Amino acid sequence: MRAARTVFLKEMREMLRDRRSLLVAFIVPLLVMPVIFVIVTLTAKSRERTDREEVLPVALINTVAIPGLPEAIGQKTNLAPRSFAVREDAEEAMREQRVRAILIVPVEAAGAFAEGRSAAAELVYDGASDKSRLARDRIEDVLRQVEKAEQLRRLEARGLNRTLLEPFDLKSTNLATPRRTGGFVLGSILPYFVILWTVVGGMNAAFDLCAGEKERGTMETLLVSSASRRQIIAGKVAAVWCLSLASALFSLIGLVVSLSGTFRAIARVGGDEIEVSYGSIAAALVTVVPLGLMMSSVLLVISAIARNLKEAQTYVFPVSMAVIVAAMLSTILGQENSLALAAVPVLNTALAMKQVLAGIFNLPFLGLALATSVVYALLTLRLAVSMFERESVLFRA
Amino acid sequence: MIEAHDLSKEFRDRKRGVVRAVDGVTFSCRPGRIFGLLGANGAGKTTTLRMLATLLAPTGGRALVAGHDVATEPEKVRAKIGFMSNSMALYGRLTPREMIEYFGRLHGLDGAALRARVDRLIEELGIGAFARGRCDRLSTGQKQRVSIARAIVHEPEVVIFDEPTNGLDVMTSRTITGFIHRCRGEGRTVIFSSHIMSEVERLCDEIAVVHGGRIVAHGTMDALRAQTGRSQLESVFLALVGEPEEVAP
Repeated sequence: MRAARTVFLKEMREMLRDRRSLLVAFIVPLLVMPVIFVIVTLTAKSRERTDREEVLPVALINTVAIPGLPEAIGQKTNLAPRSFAVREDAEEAMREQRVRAILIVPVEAAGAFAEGRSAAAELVYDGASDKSRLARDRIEDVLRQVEKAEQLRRLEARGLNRTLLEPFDLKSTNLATPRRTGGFVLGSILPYFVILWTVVGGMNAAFDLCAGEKERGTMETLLVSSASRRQIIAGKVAAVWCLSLASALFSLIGLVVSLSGTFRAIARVGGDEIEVSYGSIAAALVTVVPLGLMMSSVLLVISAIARNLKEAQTYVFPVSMAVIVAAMLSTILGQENSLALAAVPVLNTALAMKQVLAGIFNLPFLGLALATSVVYALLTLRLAVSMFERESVLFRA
Repeated sequence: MIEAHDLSKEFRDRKRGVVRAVDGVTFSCRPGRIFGLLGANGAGKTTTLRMLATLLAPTGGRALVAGHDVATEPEKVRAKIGFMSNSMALYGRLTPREMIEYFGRLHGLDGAALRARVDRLIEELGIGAFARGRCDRLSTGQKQRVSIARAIVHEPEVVIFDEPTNGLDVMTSRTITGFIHRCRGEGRTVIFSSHIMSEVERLCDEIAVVHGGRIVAHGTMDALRAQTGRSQLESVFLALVGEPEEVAP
């Protein structure tokens, strides 16, 4: 295997001198997640502020009929109430966006409310507008508040205790340790990104290593050397594998750094205490190792078949889509999975990673996921070798 | 030494069906001589050379290169041949020294022997001044010299040139033809393909005219002249492959 080692070392040396592939394999995965997190957090914060503070005009029709309702609405500083006499006028105002929602109390409601019955009321909103939905939510808050006060008043008027309407006094206790909560949160997003970078990180290099060599005319001279085809492709796969694992590692570092920052921020504002377990993160990285070999082999198969870089980029599209879908499925599926899923390539790795991060060591699942991943990796490696040994593939007219 | 006997190559083509790119060629090239394959584009020259270089497997006949069968002992054949095409085929991000070392290692050289061989080539070919810069920053002439060093780092018995001067200017072509002469002087077997008549006439000791996958004539320049009764190689060639149809006025 000396020639394979020679090829591997030369490919690594060339890749490490290529700024473009270094950027894609290391810098982008390291920085992209922190940057995305900062943007998402800032956007969410500003969105939350406008949601809380923006004053929304709402139309009120006959709300004075319910005692306490106009006052309760008046106390909501982010609602600007306007009285209307007729429904049509209010709806016209809503169409022109002068008001965002309409609360209508019919004339007969006053009597029902006073007599201890249900008072009819109607809330009109536009389900296709988020400001209108927000106005509806705020009005519903006010109504619940008035409702609660009225419930209490009615009970007291009859000499009854409020517990009559509250059969349960519920207290929830969370058994999860901060560390396990952290694993749960990490497990929901980390596998997707790490798997994505396992594929993307080695892609440039993989295409350069066969399709690129064909394009530049170096392939012939390489194949005429004493090294066997098998050794050449072994060296190339190993180099791409290294790069894809390195890129998975860097994306992991970027993710964990930005997430642990987020966790600390949550704890500071009085949320759940969340911790990151570095042991389980290391274990999660191990699950990527066979996947990295499989994807490196697949990328080199594509690269060997393609006549040039452009063709390789075209052929890889369906493969990328399949990987993205499989990795995304893992974010939807829970942590307790049927054993059959352990045999689905890519998805099995994502789910295994998710379980390990959540601190669930389901040995049959993990064992099967790892074993099938290794089998898939070896099968695709064999495919890559046999493609590389076929002259009809390497010298496609 | 190269011996090709009834060597053939068929391709399966989706549009044209089975294509015989090389159709039973027989020839031999001896050490210390330059053997030229002369033919138009698509005559089967490159396919023939690729079979000799073990890049393509023959579908018929056999070929021995330096005593080894290309079909059954491709790795032994590859250890004995150097291959050059018109592409310089350099890795842009390696230095010339790394480039030559890489191919030396692939051919099984190592340690002090490798270093000595690389040092000697760098000196002989005048690569020293730019041996530590990246290959993609070299001039065409410099690249050409590195490419030569890469092809002969393992001291091959046989050197195969596939249209080596195609698309090169006069200066860089001169480097190549000089190198071909040098290979002959060192007693190597040289096989060379070209569609450029003057080049073949000037360089080759023996010429095989290839047309439609077959060798239509074979011998020294003088023998070919005698056979056709013409003196210019161009007219000799046309006499052998048949004149192209005149364009109607």
